[in-house]
Amino acid sequence: MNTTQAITEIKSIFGAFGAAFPTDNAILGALSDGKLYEAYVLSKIVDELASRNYQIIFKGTSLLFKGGPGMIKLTDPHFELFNMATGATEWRIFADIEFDTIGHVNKSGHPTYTADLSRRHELDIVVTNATAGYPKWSEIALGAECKSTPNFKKALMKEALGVRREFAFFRQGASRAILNLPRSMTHSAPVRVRAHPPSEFIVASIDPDSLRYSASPAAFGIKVEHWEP
Amino acid sequence: MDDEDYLKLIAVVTDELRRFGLEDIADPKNYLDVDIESGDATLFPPHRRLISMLVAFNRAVKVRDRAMLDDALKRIARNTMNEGPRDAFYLMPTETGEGRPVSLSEAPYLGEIRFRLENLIIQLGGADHLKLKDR
Repeated sequence: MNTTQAITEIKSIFGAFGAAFPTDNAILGALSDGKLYEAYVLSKIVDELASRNYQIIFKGTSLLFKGGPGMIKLTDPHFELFNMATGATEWRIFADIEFDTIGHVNKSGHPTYTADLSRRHELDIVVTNATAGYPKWSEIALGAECKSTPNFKKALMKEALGVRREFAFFRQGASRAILNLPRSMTHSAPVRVRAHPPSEFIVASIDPDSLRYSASPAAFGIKVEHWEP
Repeated sequence: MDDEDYLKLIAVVTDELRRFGLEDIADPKNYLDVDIESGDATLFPPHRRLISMLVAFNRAVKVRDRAMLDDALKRIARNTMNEGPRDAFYLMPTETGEGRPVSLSEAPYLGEIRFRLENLIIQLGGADHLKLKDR
């Protein structure tokens, strides 16, 4: 292939890319916002939790992602994680949920302000035992951020570190993560995190370069995953 | 091809990316080698920069490809005790506060474009930069 042929092919590929898209701005916005990637990451998390031997049921007919921050409503589509031993729903998975932060809830031992915009932060995917409204930081068993940007940047990790600070404290020693089932109920090796409560936090990225930012955040129970189809 | 040719191709790719609002992939700041000791930054050589831009564009295509949703729904169905979701909707905020649901199934299938793009990358000597699990 020479330069002229390469230029022709590049222009043709971009032309086909432009022609493939619908004209509806709403769907274009959803695709630019990485909502397909969010669905993909959600499926990977469901897969991971099933591998830990959770029994999972989907409630609803279709997945729902929001363009803005949301709260937990059991009428929204979500997943339920059953404990086979008790037959009870222990956890639920929701998308695009804001949670009440440590800084908010713990100030003087109880919430002392309500209007500040730092009161809540959003997580793309949440596993929680809360059943309504905005979950507290202590009600999150797993949070995930989905980074569909083609070039992962350090700023994304700085943002994730800040979010992590707001739903778990750093702990020197690693302990069993909340979403580990008892040893008698699973054959998978327990996940351990250095956090209190021992919640998990996944930063999923389509860019393999994200893994170059994983070592220091790991100390705070942040797992960087390069998930790319 | 030599560096001058690769620079010509970079200019074409940059123009096309900007035409589609993909400024982030076009931005040269994404293609720097930074020396950890000295802090000095140098731009990737032209061939590596061209391939990196095309591979990043390939990732941008992937996250807009309906196939990604199909893959997700199949994986969920394999792991749920009941049927699992049939589709996925995006609730677009509106002026009235009542969100307008948009089906993500309206996303286009882009496999053909990805195939051509990956072939181009291979022909330009960038096969090592691709994730070719499915090929």
